[in-house]
Amino acid sequence: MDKQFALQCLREALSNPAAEFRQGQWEAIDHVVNARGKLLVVQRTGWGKSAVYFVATRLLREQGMGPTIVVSPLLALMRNQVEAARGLSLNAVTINSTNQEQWNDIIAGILEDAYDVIFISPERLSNEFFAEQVLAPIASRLGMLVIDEAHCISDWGHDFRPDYRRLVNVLRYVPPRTPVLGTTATANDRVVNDVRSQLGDVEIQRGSLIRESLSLENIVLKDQASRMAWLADFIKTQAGTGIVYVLTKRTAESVAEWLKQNGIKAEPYYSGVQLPNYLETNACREYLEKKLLTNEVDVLVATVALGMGYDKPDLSFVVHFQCPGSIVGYYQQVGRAGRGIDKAIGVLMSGSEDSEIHEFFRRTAFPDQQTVKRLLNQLSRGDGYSTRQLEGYFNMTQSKLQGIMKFLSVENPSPVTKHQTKWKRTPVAYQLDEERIERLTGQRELEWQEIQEYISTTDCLMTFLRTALDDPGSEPCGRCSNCRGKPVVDMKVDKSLVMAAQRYLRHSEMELVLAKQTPKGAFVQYEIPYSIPRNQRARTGRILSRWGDAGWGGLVKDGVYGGRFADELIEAAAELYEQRWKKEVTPQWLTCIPSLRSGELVPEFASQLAARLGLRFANVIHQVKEHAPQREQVNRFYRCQNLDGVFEVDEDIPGGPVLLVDDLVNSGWTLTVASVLLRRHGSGEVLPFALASMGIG
Amino acid sequence: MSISLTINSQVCLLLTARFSQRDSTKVLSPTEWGTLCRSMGGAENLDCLLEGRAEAVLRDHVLKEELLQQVLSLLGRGVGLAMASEKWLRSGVWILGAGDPEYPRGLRDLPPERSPPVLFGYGSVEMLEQSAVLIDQRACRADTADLAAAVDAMRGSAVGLLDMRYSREVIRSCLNIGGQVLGVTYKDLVSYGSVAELRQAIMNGSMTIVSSRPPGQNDQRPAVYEETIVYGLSDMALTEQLIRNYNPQESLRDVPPTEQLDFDF
Ligand SMILES: [Zn+2]
Repeated sequence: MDKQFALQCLREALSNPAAEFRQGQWEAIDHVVNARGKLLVVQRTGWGKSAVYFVATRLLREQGMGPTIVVSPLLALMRNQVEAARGLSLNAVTINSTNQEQWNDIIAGILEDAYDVIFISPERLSNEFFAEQVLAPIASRLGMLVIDEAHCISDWGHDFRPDYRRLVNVLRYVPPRTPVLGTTATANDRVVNDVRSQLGDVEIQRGSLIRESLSLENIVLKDQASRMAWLADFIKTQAGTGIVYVLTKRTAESVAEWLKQNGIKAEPYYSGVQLPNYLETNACREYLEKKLLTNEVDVLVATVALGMGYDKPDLSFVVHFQCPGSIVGYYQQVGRAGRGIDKAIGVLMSGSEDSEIHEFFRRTAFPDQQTVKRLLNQLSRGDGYSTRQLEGYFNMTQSKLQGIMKFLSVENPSPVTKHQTKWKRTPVAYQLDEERIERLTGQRELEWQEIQEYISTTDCLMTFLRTALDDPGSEPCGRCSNCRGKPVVDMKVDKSLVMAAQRYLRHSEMELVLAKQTPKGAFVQYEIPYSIPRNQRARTGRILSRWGDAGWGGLVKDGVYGGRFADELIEAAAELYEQRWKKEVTPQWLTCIPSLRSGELVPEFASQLAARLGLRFANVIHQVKEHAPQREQVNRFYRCQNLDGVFEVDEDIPGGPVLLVDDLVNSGWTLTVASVLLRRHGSGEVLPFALASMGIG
Repeated sequence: MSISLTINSQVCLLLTARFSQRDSTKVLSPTEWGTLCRSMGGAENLDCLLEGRAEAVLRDHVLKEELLQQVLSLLGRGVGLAMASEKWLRSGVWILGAGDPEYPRGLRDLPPERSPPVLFGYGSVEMLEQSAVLIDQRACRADTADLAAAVDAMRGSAVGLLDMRYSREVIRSCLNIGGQVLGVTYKDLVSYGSVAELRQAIMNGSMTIVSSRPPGQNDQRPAVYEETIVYGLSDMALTEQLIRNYNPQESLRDVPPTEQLDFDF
């Protein structure tokens, strides 16, 4: 196919009779269409990669090839692309979990050759059910394969994502003379070389990554309250919209709520986000993506889940509330700002909690040898187990178990396979590749150090990023705070707003809702039935903070390690109890959970709190046998079994509603069991209260 | 265990394999496959079809236009092939194309119409070249445990259809006494591989399972190649010797017809 015809297609696509190819576009099309080759394109976003795969598809279709399949991670983007394809008279369709009722029609359409471009997400591609129902019948028809955000197929290009690992294996088996196009805006030489080694005979096309509109700035503010105060002020002065990146879902919720209270239209965004009117989290995410695209919100407070492929040309700022784990990750996120406008701002803030969170991410990214061995041994004993059944054999949360099974199922060859709901062992001898895990974890640590260097560099910030990404040209940008020798943004932090943020963080208590059902067979001694009788269930309680957080959680942590809780915590608990907790019943007395391990820590706190609240303190629950720490028991069954027969309650206890106090709460089973025992011994309604919840959220 | 895919197996798969049970692509029939292999001078010469001049090469070998177009269109299934192979290889299955060097001699020597274009299997590929005694109830109706002991005494392995009760029982007996077996199936290889007893045998090296059907395709279409595989992988001299030693009244030529297929495992 010749360039002239391709150019004509491009002009049709852009509805611009004078349009010309951008540098590299025709070369890319020529390579996949005429040489039927494999190509990795590293070009900044906005370069026009979709024009390349649309025009290429058009030409391949002219040659009688089947439809192009585009693997892309973003739902809203897919929707836009389907529209864009129409301009080239290409019929595009997306197949995803939100349009399941149309799958059969779409499959029939593909088999009748009615579609030219098919969009799917990497999650779908690696979903066994989807692969069987949708991909299997159409696989023989597919012409070209396009991978959006192709850096993810490199071990170095992402935090471990099992879905992309499956994709890597697919790519490895693509025979010669099959057109494959990978596109990315973020890849350093190491990533590019790795992709090359995965794909074999792949060509690389690399353009410059500089974003001329972007002014960069770094701000170090250790405490969250100061960052929140600065952030609220900053966003209010911005005319355009933006994204605030955070590291955890909980922080996304908390920062978004804070911004809302300050009159900013903000929404949290993360994987699994829920909104009242949407059942499906993908639909929520799509809704939120669209709200930002159409400027109905000022800002999304997002985790890394809002990343790949999100394209809003007029996004005018990206602020990192916490520091990302690598330069690659940072460039990718900050690079969403200023694509189609002259001026945009990228601010990286970092705080004291960042390194602990990243340490946690690194530590929990891979399963350990011992666990994998035990799991596989169990699977070898039979002809198939559901996740539920496996949970019964292992002291592990369901999500952790699922994570490990997913990890194992994308290994190649894999020691496990899934048939409908059952996991089965395959005849594959398997050893966890500890060397690879060590290598990747080591790499993550180096990446973390590199971004720490970025924070403290006095050189041009854009140059630092481009050099780290092996972008060939690297003259100073002239726009960052280092080039200008003065801040890009107003650095002032309003003291009164800091106080307000501090107050907000300290009022971020959570509801404490205890279980209503117990795992079968866990409470043999207590004989607590599967469904806890209504008159033995606790009411909804409260948790003052999250372990170690910027509100009260830090003081709780100090108290546990130091052996005594600070007086401020008594006051904080009392304030919550008296002013913000709308109780269904009013407690007449107070008791607490005993612990052989921590001794007087909790009873001392509880009696002081009782005195402050004017309630009678009665220490009526006693621990009568040692048990393993509850936090080491990580699934329902083991946690419950571990508590069976551990506590006794005095025969003679005060009547009337009771406030039940503990220091730390994880799954809440200790409080659940204590509530049942209290009710059985004649107390009134139980209101549970804990100082902090565990876990990173 | 190899998890790679040679160019030859890719070509053979593109031309002859359906990628899933619901794939209705018109792949080459045994006759068409035979014609192609003959005109190209053998399956080992097909690799050049993925080198970029497929059409010219095919024209050089005077293929009929219709077959030529079919071959070209089948070669365009690369993306589907990659997706299917990923699934197959991930389950621990190996794949051999008819032109791969490890493809067993006993099958390569047959006319191309009769030998399977692709073999899928679990276990050791080397076992395909070892001398094996053919287990077929048309040839022998002895007690399964006795027969297993006799095979073992001859220091041979046994090869038979896993899908037929008699040969399956012999295979089981052989495994029970620590012998080596080659099981051939036209059913789903992967479901056999997930049966605890067979999986163990595969993993400790005493069993290899082979099929010409892609994993996961347990369909009702008649088995084309499986009997040929059983015969092709067996050593006729060894088999005759066993029958003579064991049951002089029976001989290979005295074959009562049976259609006893059953699918429980
Ligand atoms: Zn600069």
